[in-house]
Amino acid sequence: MNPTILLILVLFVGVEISFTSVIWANVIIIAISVLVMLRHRAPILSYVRLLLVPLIPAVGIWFSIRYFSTAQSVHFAWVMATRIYAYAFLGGLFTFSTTTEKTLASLEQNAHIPTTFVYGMLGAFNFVPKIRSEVKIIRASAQMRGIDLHFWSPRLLFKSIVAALNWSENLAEAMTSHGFTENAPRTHRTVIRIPWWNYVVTVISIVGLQAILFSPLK
Amino acid sequence: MSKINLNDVTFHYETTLPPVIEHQNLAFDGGTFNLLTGPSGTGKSTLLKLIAGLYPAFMGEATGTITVNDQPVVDLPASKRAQLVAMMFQNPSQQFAMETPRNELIFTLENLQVPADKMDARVNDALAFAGVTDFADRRFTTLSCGEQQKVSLAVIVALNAEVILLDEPFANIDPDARLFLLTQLTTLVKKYHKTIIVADHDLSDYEPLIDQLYIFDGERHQVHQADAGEAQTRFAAFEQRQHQPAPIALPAAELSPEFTLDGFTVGHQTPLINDASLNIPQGKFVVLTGANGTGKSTLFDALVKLQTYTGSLQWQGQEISKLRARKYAQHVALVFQQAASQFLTITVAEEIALSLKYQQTTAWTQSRIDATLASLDLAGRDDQVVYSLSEGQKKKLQVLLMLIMDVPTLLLDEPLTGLDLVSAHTVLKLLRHAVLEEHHTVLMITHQLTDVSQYADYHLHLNHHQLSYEASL
Repeated sequence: MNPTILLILVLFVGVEISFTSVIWANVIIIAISVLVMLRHRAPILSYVRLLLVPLIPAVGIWFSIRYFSTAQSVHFAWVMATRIYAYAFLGGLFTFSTTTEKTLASLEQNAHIPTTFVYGMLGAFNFVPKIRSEVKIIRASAQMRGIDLHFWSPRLLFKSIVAALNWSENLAEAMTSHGFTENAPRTHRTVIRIPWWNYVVTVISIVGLQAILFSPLK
Repeated sequence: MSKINLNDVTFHYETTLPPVIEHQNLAFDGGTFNLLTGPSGTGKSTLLKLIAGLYPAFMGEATGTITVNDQPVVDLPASKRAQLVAMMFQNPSQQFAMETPRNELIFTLENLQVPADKMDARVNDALAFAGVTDFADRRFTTLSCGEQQKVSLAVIVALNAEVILLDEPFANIDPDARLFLLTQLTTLVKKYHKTIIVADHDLSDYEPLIDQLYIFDGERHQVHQADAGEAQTRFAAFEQRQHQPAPIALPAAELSPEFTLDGFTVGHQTPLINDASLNIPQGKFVVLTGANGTGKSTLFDALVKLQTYTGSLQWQGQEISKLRARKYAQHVALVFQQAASQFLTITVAEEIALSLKYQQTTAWTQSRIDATLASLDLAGRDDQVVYSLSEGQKKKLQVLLMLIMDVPTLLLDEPLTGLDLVSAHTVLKLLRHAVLEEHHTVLMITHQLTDVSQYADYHLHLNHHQLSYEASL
């Protein structure tokens, strides 16, 4: 699906389940997310991670509502626990359906968000490996001076910020010298369209969600 | 009519600082190959960035006008300006916003609003001209500096700019890539009538190629065009200053090794050093030379665990990749090529205090440090921010900071860059003293070879992916 449409759909679903308390809706969302992730051949590890990372908050909220809230509702404890997993798997669904580049390109072309934002983000993503190697150099340099810098050391943070400021300056100059003007019109080698079936899927998903939320299912 | 005109241009980084360029009038003709030279740190980059319209947009304050094709460059939007003036930067890794060469070219052409159906042909032509078709879809992080500068040329060709500015473009690249780039640039001038200005302090190979030589005078903050006589003198003087090698000893086989290489290979996609086997002796002063981009710094990175390698690389009989970084750093330390990587605090006094606090022995006392600061011409700068020192001052401070640490083995990556001859002698004397009196091991990369043979014990040379000891330096 087109990343912009998918993003809007995911956000819509996420917001709507925040205001309702139907366990089945959460479970179905998780199931659909898993199906989509299977279709995109997500690695096994990503399912494990999606199950483990929300485990502590999910269990925590289940116990606090079940035993320490005024109502001590079992139903509501399950609503909250499954909701946390529903959020996590919606994130998984989106992540495996698209890439950062595709999402940003779609946001630029379909959602018309400012190009400065789009290419700023893209530039920042491409700087990640560089930041990693810079942190490695700073830590090595400190070790040679007899200091062990941990990732929370203010000195490491300060040095990283100095380096990042320098890079952002260079990146801005590089983009300008390659003809980039903030928010000026651009052409696109790959034009990203929104196929008609995307709208159909979106409408069906939203209608389906309402059907579940307002059905006798709990 | 000249292609580029500067009319009474004055530029300051800060209004409180002295100007970098003052009341500059200058003209460059269309379809010419121009070389701009002068000592490093005088303002060659600044001048190019002014012509490219990057300054004062990004930094500083300027008065006067700069025109290209009679249009003031500051008034043009970036997409128009990029088609008129393109720039290649000194540091190749910092001029790309995208992940791969092809995407960078597409990004550029999209900015120029080239129609989608014309894009692929233009991208492919540019890739072919710059000889980068083979790695168009590889990530920039896997490309060597020379390959990245070729990509930069491809972007310039895709932009089809009339004026091409190059800021020390060959500082980090190997001789083959340099020769290829110079040939292609000459083609752009002769065949496509482009105007080229290269800023370079290294004049080798340029004499037959260029039409005009411009000289930056740092004292007067002005550039002037050299007439035929002056240009000839400059090139002759440069040739003369080329180093005359002096004989130097070869290491004897029985010396105990500090580092042992055995089938050692290091590099990115293609190896820089291939299957090297030799010893680097302990307690000696060894100088490592080799052309730009051949892998000298990469060898140092491997020696301090910042770079992975294959084969064997041992320090005092132990495999370096298996050593604990923290422990090992107490024995082998590096003076980084990028001074900014060395500094951990803000002022000169703080940096020295930090080294004093963690020094391994008490060989360096406050009075010895004060005397050395004076001999390095760094006295009285206690409260200066280290980043605001000149390049040469940064280098001298770096060397001192690491000497105070008193680490047994010191690797130095280009510590003599930007140093005048007197300072270079002082630094070399300090290193010699560390070797002779304190029995340290020193391994130093340098391009600046004048008088180095008076201080060094051995000369290690890197050429064609191989390391070997030379009998002259």
